[in-house]
Amino acid sequence: MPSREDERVPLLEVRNLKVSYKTYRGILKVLDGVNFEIEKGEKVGIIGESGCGKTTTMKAIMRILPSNAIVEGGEILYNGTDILKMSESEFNKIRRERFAMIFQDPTAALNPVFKVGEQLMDILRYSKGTGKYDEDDLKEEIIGAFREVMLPDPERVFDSYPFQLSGGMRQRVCIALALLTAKELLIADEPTTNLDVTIQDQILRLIKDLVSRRDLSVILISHALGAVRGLVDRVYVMYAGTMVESNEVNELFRSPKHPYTRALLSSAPRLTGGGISQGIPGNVPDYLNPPSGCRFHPRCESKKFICDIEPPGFFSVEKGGKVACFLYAER
Amino acid sequence: MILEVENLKKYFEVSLGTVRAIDDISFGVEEGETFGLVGESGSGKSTTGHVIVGIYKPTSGKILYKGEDISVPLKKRPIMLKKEIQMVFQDPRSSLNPMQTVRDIVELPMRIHMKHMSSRDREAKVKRILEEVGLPPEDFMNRFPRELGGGESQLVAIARALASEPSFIVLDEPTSALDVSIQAKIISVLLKLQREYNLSYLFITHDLSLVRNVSRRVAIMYLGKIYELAPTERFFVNPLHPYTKMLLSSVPVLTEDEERLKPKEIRSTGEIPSPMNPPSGCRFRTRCPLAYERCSEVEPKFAEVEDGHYVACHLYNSQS
Amino acid sequence: MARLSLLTIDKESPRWRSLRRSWYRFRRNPLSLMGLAIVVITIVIAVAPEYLAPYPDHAGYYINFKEAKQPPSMKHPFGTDEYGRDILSRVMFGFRFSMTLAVVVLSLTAPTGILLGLIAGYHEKTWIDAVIMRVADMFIAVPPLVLALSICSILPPNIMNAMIAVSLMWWPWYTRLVYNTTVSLKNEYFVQAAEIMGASKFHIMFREILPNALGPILTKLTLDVGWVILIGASLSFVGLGAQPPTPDLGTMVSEGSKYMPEYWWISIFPAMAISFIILGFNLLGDGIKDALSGG
Repeated sequence: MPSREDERVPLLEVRNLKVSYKTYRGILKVLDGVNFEIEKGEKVGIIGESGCGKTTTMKAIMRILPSNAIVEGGEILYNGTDILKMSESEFNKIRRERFAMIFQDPTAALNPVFKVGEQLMDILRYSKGTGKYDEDDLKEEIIGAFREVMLPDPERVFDSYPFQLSGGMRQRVCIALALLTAKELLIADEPTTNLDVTIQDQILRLIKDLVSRRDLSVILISHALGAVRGLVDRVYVMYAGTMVESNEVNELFRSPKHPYTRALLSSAPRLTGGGISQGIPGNVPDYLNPPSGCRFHPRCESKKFICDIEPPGFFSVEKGGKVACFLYAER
Repeated sequence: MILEVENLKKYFEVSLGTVRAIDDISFGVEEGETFGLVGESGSGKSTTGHVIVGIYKPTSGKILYKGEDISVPLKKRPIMLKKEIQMVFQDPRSSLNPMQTVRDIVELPMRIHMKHMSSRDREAKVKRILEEVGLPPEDFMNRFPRELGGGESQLVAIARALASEPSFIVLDEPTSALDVSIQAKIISVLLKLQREYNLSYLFITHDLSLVRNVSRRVAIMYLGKIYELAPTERFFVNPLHPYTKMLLSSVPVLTEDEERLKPKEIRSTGEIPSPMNPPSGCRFRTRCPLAYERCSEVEPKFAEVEDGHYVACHLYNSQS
Repeated sequence: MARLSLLTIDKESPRWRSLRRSWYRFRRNPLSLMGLAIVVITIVIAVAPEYLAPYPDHAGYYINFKEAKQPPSMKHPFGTDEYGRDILSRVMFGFRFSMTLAVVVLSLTAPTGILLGLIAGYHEKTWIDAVIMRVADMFIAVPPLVLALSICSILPPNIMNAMIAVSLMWWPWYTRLVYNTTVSLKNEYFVQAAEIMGASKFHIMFREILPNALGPILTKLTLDVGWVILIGASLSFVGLGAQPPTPDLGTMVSEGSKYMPEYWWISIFPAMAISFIILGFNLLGDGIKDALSGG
């Protein structure tokens, strides 16, 4: 657990981030003031359904947004400094030396025409910054990382092309790479979504183990609600470009507060049976003309008169949770 | 039983060898029930659905529908059968013809099987079906598939499946590509329709939590074979086969209650072998913590252990 | 995923709506519009050269050596040729010939080629596929101009036979295109769904697969107009197409080449006309492809 002194300045703090996309149909106002933070050594999950803006947020943090994206406002503070205002080269240094990202599709993340070992050596060299590095040392580091992620026959994997490995093995390679290059922050965007359940479980346990040993901060993104549970301390729930709730992970699943979170969780089938709800009435909003005020209000059964006028801020609830809903405004 | 599968096998010949996608499975679906078929990649569950529906021809074995042998591919099947058995696919987007409107798509089965209906009759029926699946006809009749969301596309696919008034529907991972809240909507529509029309479903999925909530009985497949089959409650509360336990222990869950249900003694290890070269004897033995010599020599027999509860494992079948 | 308001969907037929959307996309690209303009102009000229040409009778037997080989002027904007005929008028009539060639060849070859490709593709890996595609392969294997030339050397050289020659080597390209599209579409879920519900082969080929193959076909058709004209012009250039005095752009280029470079206008203007037509159809074809694939 991080000490009190470290908590003074969060490792990463996103403040009121607003991002839009320019398309030929008009401007899609996707992120509408995203607020979230992660302390050093903390593991945070972000859950939300497709189109809610989780990947956009991550791309904004890593500054890999597509060319038609516009950052309309807000700040992303890394150790107190706004990375959105940094120059390309300044941020590049931070990104390659301190951050790492695991993408959803391991096949797309690896270049198919180069051997795995070659690619990783290049990336590792780049991430270590300027200087000469002995090739054999690099190779040893990589093989060591392969062993940690339990890849069978690491030497052979090093000499293989991506297509010669299974999906699970490819994702393990990406995880190994992320662990080699992440000094401070690891962002994992749906790292196990395309894998079989038994492999998924292995990989999540692996990530958990490796992350704890290295004291990395992790942001884990998933649309599969249960996948984050074993790995993170705190969870944010995202809907239509805003964070609607955040809480300690078990508390959130046990006692969801925001109407969206509650509706979402009651839609999820339980291993213990008991049936599932009929889903959430209405549709996800159109980002061209998003609802005024709270973006969930058209679908909310607890809507009050103020909900379509003002967007709610984050209100505190018990156990350190926060909810963006006027139902909790008085507390 | 509305559908019975007996000793079904389906092998595919590819350049590198033979893929034994389905290798001797037997099970049956009762009228009006949802039968869950669960498995990971390479298990053969999707292929099973495809063979039942007629897209593939069985290599050997029998498929019986309402007592009659239908073990032939589509082109040899009588037209009546194609009215009775329908399928809903995994990817809602590509299961709808992009150049046709929702009305065209849902109307097609009627044009084939109900030739006595006039255009106006058909239109009325399309409207009725769209309402039943929760898509207001005025809004949706004239839309093209690219104007539909994922959930809406799947509802149109379900409406289409209903249009011929079938008795049996194969649902191949119908909600795997959809978000959780949309999945809930689709499932509730499916269950409602089942109650109303006494439909029988073969529900193919990899999501154990989902199958717990929709099916009456469950079978688990691994590398082309069924290793356990039981009524749902029994399957989850008292799983017998080591693979079932391994799969259950890997399911990502949300609550403490669910955690407690997960078997703790077996955690997932190893990779899934290739279906072209499955391990000898019991195919699961390479990942099974309880495997012993017999497991590599003799294939375990699929036998009833308790009432309605079948397992294929040497640990339970003393004489196999 | 587009969400349309109820109002727009209600009032108009869905196909019209879809066409309108494609048109909006098409309209956005100025090059496509230019292509469309050129094509429209070409068609108008091709349809009614008698009314548009300043000297319509120069397209037939006309000799006036006093006016021969005049450079471009107010009276003859494109100049006159070696017989004193107005080149502008003859170019306009040449449009007619070229377009006729294109229309005839493509209306013979496209439907045949498409049909064969559809049938072969749907019956992939059966004898039907084998027969059709191997025959198509044979025709493709022969270089087009060689095939055309050899046919034209056997038969008397005239327009009709030129068109036959060009058609014979044209159809297999449609067959191949549609074959490949059909084979890949055959495995789509929506085709499987139609098979499962018992749709007839005819329905599946013509109502499920073909409409989804139209995009590439349409694009190819527009680009082909240019190609057919070019091949036709090449045939005429070597004397195997239109016979004098029929004004054909290729013949005009060929005949005029004798007088290069002093009387350059006799060849250059017809050549530019050929480029003009081809450019127009190419731009149009690209525009259609972009508008349709916009999704």
